[in-house]
Amino acid sequence: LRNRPDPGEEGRLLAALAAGDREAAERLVERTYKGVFALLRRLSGDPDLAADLTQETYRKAWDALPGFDRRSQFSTWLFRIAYTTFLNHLRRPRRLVPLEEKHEAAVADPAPAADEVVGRVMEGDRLRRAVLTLPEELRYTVTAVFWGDLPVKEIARQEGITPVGIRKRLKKAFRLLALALEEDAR
Amino acid sequence: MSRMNEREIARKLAEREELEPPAGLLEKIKSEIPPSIPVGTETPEVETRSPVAPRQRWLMAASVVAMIGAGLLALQVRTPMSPVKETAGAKSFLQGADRAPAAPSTSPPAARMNPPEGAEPLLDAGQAPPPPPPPSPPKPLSRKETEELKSLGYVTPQAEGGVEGGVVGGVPGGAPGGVVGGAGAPREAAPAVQPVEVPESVAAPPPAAPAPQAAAKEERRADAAGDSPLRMADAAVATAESAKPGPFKDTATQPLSTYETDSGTASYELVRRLLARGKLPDPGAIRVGEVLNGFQTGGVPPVEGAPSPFRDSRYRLLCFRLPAGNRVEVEFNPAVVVRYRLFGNGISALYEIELRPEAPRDDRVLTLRLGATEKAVFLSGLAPSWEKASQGFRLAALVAEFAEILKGSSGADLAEIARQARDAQKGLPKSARAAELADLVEKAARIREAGPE
Repeated sequence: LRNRPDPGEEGRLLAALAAGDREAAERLVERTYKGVFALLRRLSGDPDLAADLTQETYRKAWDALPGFDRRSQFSTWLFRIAYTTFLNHLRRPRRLVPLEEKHEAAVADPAPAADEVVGRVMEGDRLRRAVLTLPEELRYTVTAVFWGDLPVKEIARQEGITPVGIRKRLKKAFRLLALALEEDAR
Repeated sequence: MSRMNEREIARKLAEREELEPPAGLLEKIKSEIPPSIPVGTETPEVETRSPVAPRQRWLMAASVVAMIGAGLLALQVRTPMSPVKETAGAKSFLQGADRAPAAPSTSPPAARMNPPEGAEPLLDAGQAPPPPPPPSPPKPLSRKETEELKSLGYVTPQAEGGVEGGVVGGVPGGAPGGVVGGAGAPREAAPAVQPVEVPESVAAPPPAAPAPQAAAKEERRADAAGDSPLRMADAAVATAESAKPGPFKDTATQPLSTYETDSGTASYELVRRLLARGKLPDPGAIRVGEVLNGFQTGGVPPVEGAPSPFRDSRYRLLCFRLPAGNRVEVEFNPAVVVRYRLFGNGISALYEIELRPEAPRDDRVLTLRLGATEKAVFLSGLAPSWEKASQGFRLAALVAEFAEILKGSSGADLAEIARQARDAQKGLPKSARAAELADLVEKAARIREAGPE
């Protein structure tokens, strides 16, 4: 999603898909899967889990495609499915991976300048956890803007509000994140 | 650790890592593509898009700002000049104004771009235009009412420096005559109206006395950074949007809804007091959840649903009544529910949902989560008709619809709400709430019928 797919090209691929061209689905996957994976990797902090959830996202997308009304871009719609898939995963207790364990795994990575890496990973993980504690609307907005790289205008259209509203949500989210990070550091 | 500022947070969020997907993932996804995939057809947007393009909205907002500014400037120029208009200084000033008049140079183009209905003809270049009319129809409030609003947290202390009649949803320092829901001087802008796009659960409650001061300080700091003209436009957009109903959300992409139960009743108090004085409240000041809280009755199940009396048979209203101060998660089942919207959340939360026509009756509509507990709600568990719902549920639904009408986001008929409230009163003989609702609705209908004074 980082390198935004061309909406015109998306439209052509969807039209081809509707006409029964399965290869069009493959092209859509090729254009979007890296972005979906990156989002889920940032949300989950776990590459293996992110890969599983990416596959699950596409399974859901194919099932839900008949209901896709094209009010938003395909990639924006797909992003929302990926985000919801991650939240649903969090609610499955048997598959919940404790954050601390993931921490240890990351720390055990024998990379050069290990202290720096550890510090960065810990900081990133604190931020990730803080984002996940935000109220739903704010959490989605932050995730969509920063981790999904979706344009503010596109998110606004999807959420049914104005771009000004999205910026206000971000401002509020920043305040809450600053508080959460401060508390976490104590 | 010292608190990070917004810029630092944004920077950290935007930091990039190497996030390449593992080898073989693409092939796995491709291998799972079904042989044939039906694709949805394109549907025009009807609910969320404004008929006015965003660029036009900005132009309109800028026009309003320019007109107000020009009006105030002209007023300032006119007042001190009148007693000394024969002096040389004044004469040269006026001549200068004729050559390059500040007010006429800005206001006529603005008026041409966005001519108000029934606008008077443009003034001559040398003639000072009158101050702009207040943008909102409700009449100015008295000093006493301003005090009452202030006690309810709807008028900030800074607003006192503004106009007689107070400012609701507007900003201090506005034009003489008062502006309700309007905008004034950009430096002091402090939007009192919460943007409608943030649900009531996320939006802060009506500001208590110290909070608006802090908010105003923060706004002033932001203004100092140079974005005050944008803020003016923001306030205009937010005020205009406050009249819109909450948008429906598709369960296919957003099955999860969250809200926080809240016991505030400020909007209810406001409605009651203003209607008693023969005035309609400012639409931007109404929070449905707070009005709902004013009409709590006993004997209502914690979870209840029934067909909506204001919509066709696909729609249901759902009411959840849970203890205050809790975060509640509602996960809708996309196989049963097409879309939903949250009317308002107080102690009771009211949702409107649209069902899929083919949804089986024994299927789950949603799962409600409160802390570690959860409850599944099935279609068969909802009342089969509006008449068979509990009186408390019907009262809550009527209250919410009434509040939506006051917000200007429902076209339902006040007389019909009043009639239904009287019906509900029969089923709640020991409760004065239904009778009070009927009285309030009838008052509002009378005031609306009489029109602004």
